Amino acid sequence: MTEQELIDSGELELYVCGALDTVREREISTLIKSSPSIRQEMLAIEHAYTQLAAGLAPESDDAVYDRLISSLGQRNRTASKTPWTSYLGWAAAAVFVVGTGYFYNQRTTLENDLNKVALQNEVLEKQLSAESEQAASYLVTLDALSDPNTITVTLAGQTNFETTNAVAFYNATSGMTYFKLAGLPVAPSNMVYQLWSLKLDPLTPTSLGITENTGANASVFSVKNTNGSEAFGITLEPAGGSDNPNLEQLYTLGVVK
Amino acid sequence: MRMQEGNEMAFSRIYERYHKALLGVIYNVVKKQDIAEEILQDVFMKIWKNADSYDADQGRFFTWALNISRNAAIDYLRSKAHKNDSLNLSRDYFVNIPEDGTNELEIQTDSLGIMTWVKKLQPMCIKVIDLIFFKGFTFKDAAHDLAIPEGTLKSRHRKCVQELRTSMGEL
Repeated sequence: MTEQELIDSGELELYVCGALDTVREREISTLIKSSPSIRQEMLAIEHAYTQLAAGLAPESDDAVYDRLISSLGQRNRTASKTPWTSYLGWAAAAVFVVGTGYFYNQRTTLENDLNKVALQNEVLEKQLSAESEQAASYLVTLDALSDPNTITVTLAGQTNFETTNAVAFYNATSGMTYFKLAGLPVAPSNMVYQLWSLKLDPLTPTSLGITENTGANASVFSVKNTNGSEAFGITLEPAGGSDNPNLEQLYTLGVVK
Repeated sequence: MRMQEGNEMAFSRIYERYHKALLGVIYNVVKKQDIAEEILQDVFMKIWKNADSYDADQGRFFTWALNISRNAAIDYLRSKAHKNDSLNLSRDYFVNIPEDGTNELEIQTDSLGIMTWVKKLQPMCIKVIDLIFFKGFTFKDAAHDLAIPEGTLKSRHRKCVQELRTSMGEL
């Protein structure tokens, strides 16, 4: 069918009126797009029909249009909320998901940090506790050493051990004696230094205890001593100590003056 | 189509372009101005709401709106409101223009031209145009109603529209 044949067929008039079947309507729609002359004829038919119908319309003011615009304005105001809240909902969900991941990571990191800090805190607390105890111990020692009743006894190095020395702080009143063994070398393995309280006449040793180790950093330590000491001696003994001092291993000796 | 994107400006242009023709189609069926205007308002609300369903490949926008208008007007005629209206008019407006000459309906129209155009149409053309354009018959149904072959109806319809266009000074 040529363009003119289509125009002459009367189908364009039916097309404008919506009187054709759906298939033919689609075919003609396609032809109209590709043919300016068909389109022009169709527009002229449509114009004639709109003119005819408009001619039948009663005089009308703008009331209908005003009511429509008013309704559409309200619809738009209402409708505009939907996509906005919808997008907000998705945005919130996205933020929630991202935020959840972010805060989960943050939380994990913070938890790890917190655990580290807690561990450090625990270590520091132990250190502090130890330092505090030591400080308290120093204070007690200081008090003891500065006590007017305390007698400082220098224990000099004996034969074969001339370079060694030790100090005893003897307080007969408190019943405590303090020793500082920094001048003694580190005891060999399986050997200990044994502390002796001595009566001189007759020579009577009483063991005050043993210490496994000593050295330059050895701190002052205390032992209970209510033996009315007249002198102090330190010998090197097998581990566990001896009942009587081995005088061949007498390192230091000092007399209470 | 921009109106399918919810463009109010596009809607206004469409209203301006088609409202009078659609009001004429509706008024031709319901014959009461206030009712016709109410229906026209409903029609444009439907057009706005259902702009998405308009398929340009299926036909002209005017044709789509024409169908909505005819259906809305016919729905009203079938409604209880219309059946309870003691003043309802039984006579078709468009087809009776040649006979009525000046009548109460004529006064309400804004165009003297319509009378001239329509009175120049052959009675058969008025019947054909009434069925196919105003009443929305398919050409097959119209051919059956008018008891003429479909091919004859097609060519006669075209001739009638050409007569109309001639009356309007467009041919």
